[in-house]
Amino acid sequence: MIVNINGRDLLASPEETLLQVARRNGIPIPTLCEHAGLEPWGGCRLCVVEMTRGGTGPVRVVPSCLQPVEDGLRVETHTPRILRIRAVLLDLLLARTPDARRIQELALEHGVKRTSFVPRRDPDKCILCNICVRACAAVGADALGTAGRGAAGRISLPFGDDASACVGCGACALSCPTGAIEMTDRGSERRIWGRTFQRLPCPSCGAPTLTREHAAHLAGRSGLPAESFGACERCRREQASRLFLDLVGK
Amino acid sequence: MAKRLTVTPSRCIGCRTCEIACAFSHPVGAPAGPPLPGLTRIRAFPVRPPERGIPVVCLQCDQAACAKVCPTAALQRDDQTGAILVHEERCIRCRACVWACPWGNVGFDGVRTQVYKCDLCGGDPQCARYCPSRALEQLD
Ligand code: SF4
Ligand code: FES
Repeated sequence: MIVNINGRDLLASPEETLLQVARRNGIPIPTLCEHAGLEPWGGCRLCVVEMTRGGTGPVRVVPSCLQPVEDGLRVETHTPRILRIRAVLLDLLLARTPDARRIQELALEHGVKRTSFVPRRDPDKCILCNICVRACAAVGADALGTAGRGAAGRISLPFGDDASACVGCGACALSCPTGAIEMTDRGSERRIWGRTFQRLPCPSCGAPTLTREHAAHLAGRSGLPAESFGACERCRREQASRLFLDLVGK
Repeated sequence: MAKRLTVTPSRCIGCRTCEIACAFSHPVGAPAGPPLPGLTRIRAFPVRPPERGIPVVCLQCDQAACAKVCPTAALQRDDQTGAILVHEERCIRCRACVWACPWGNVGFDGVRTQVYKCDLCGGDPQCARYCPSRALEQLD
């Protein structure tokens, strides 16, 4: 099928979203909550575009990351109205997270040098993109969710402090685009979400590897014994080399 | 059928040229040592005496554990080269692949916070190109 974006007729396949078609054709649309490996969520609204069906219907503003393509759609990605919406969103985000680099950069690109709202008094860096929540769900731990609304919105454990479902894999902290989630590894100890995990020692060299809970989680999902996950890459490779040495003969 | 990176350990002299060729072909991430521009995805373990070595590199397994455990399908086989590639934009850095590979062939680059593995250099593996003893070869 054909969709028209900014005056260009573009070939698209039915399972694509407008954002994907635009990206594939080098048309830039800013996004915050989109992640190629995770289900689209549509929360940040930065990817909004103007869309008309069949060229005649009413002009609608839709998030392009959620909008499936349809034949004959006409789309504009950078009209004054769209730019205004993005600027307001970034103005609000800048009040929420004045220290988040990504927000500062995007805001500046949209002509917002300083927020016109009252900045938060003790800001963190969370931009509520929900990537951590979806990453955690993808891992299969499902330990995170959202709480509160509007300015009070935040990422949270169930009941605020129940970290029992967390396996300490660190995917949330490492995939957060702003580094808002604190994770510290000290020796064999990992602290995250107010909980302290023990990282298993590599059976050969003793270096800390993954947490006991993460190993058990991977074992449960794969049907393999938890011991299959405990060795560090270095020692695994060395073991492989010894295996090969046995095969080729000393 | 695509060409295959073929390892003949009995020919390896343990010179570790492959590691350097690999690091230079992937000039990203934390340096493995001061003169190297990137991390190596192949290791040649020296065995002595006499001077020889055992190269260990990703086998691009048919039933690849790394791809199987990945919750976001960030590891996918490239049909052209047969290599299992990391699609970084899909990765959520849970590192399940690192712990799952039985051969230790998936690493985690703490500087880029990104997993990495052998990508067969897009079909022309530089380790094989520079191996002086044909312990590594790209064969039909
Ligand atoms: S903590 Fe990070 S990943 Fe999670 S919602 Fe906030 S900004 Fe996004
Ligand atoms: S990228 Fe579409 S709503 Fe965030």
